[in-house]
This record gives sequence, structure tokens and C-alpha cells, in this order.
Amino acid sequence: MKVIMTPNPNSPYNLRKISPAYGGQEFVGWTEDEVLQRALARRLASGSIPPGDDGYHIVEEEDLPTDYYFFDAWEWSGSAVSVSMEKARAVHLTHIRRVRDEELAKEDVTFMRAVEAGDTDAQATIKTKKQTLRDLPATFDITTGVDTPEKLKAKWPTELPARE
Amino acid sequence: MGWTFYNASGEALTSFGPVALTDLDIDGGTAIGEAIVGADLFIADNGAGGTNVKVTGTEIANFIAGNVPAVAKAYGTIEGGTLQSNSLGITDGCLDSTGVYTVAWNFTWANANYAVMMTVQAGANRTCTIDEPTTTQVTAKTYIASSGALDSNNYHIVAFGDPS
Repeated sequence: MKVIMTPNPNSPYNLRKISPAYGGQEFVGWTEDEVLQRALARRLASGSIPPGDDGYHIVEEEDLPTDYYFFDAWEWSGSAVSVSMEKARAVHLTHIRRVRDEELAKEDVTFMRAVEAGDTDAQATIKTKKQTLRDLPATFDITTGVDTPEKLKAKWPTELPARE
Repeated sequence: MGWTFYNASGEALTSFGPVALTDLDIDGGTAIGEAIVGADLFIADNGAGGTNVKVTGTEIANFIAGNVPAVAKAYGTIEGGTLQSNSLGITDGCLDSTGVYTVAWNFTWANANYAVMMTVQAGANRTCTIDEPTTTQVTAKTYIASSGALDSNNYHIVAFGDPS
């Protein structure tokens, strides 16, 4: 099935993916192209697709990247959708920060318990761990030897729990 | 095999004038025996002006949908950023960025005060919101429940309201 890819004028300035209502109940008997053109015409009329040759690209959905982890880094490379490694690194760092923040919140609880117990050794250990977590976005190397989206996604700090 | 019609004098007729509605006998016809589909044809007296035209089931459905107020107007399911088949009242589903979608209606609402309900996949630890409804589209967002971060997820949407 074909989809329409069009530049997102808003942050993160990626490519938006428009999937027409193939098999929609109003479109029984319509061809795939008729449903596609219907969606395209309405999007152009509403201004959500910019006019002009660069305003949109029609591609087969099976030709898109299969992993949407870096969707916010999708861009048009002239003939196909690709992943901007620069944007992908920012996306990956956002994921790292999110999990890091959750781990910091957990350490706040363990630190308070250590304070209540008067356990200064535990407090020092937790303090060091929290500082390591705070520094992660700056210290974790996601550039060296990381030249594909797959390698980037696989690169994950050992200080953080494994992802789902 | 063709039919031959005779007048009251027993003469074969080669042409016909208008047939009165009361002269039609449909009792002996063949029952359709299945659900009416969009491609089925019906007869309409266009504008009650005496010119009979054919009308598709889809056109009748659209007429009803556009003229019966406050009925369920639209619904659809988005999986993997793609609008699934059997939607109603939707032209397309657009994945704008991670966790942010716009659903374009296949008609125009009378105003933006229609009701929209949205649910996310069970067990996915996600929440969802509806945002910025207009007469032609609505924005839907899915989040990770624990962190509040935008994250794509399968969802279902249904809308009720008055047609334009």
C-alpha cells in the first residue's frame, strides 16, 4: 500500500507519514489510487501538505524503515526515506535521558531511606551513582563506531536498565 | 432471453412510454439475499424533476451520514502508524511525530464541538489525549503513562457530532 510522506513544518521537522483509508467503508469499490488521490487532494486543500514537487512523496509502505524508534529522524534523501544520524542521536539521547530520569527518581527514594537509617556509606554510594546518572548524557559515547540506526539503537548505557 | 410485451389488443409493443409507479410489481423479483454494498445501484428521480438516474449504495450511505444529526460519524484504528481497513468517515491517518497523530475526517463537521473518544492498546502502559479538533481533523497523542513522554502506540478513535 502506498503512503504519502510530507515534511513536518513543526518540531522535530521530520517526515510525516499519511496512510489513506484503504478499505474504508466509504471507499468500497474505489481503487487504491483513487483513495490515495482523495487523501492527497483533501490534505492539499487543507494546507497540511505544501504544494509543489517537494511537498510530498508517494512511496510503498514496505519501502519505509521497519523500525519507528527513529521516526522523528526520518528525512527524504532524494529518492527514499532515510534516517538522519544526527537527528537519530538526539532521539536516542532523549530516550536515555527519560530512563535516566526514572532511575534518578528511584535513587531519591533509596537515598531518603539511607538518611532515615543513618547509613552514611549507603548515602555516599547512592550519591556517586546519582552523579554518574546525571553525567550519562554527556559521558555516554554514541558517536564512535556508530554509523547506522541499528548500531545506534543497540548502543545503550549499562548503568541503565535494559529497554523493553 | 428477451421479453415481449403486448398491449390490450394483443399487439407486440416495440417501445414504451412512462410506466406509472403503481404499475410496477416487485413482489415476484429476486431477493438480493446479501448485504447491500456500496456498488449496488438504486433508482432516483433526480430533484423530483422526472429524470431518473442511478444512485450507488455509497452515495445513499453518504447522504444518510450527512443528514442525520448526532450520530456516530467516524471511527478507526491506527496500528504501527497506519490506518487500518474498515474505518468510517476518515480520509487518512497521519503520524506526525512520535506519539502525535492527525486524523483527517472524510467530511466536514458543522463545528469543532463534536465529541471524540480515544483508547490505547490494553496493557501497553499508555495514556492518550485528544487535542486541537477542527471541522476537518483532530490531533491525537499517545504517551508513556509513567513518564508522560510521547510515544507511539496502537489506538482506536471514534467521534460523534453534527454534520455540516
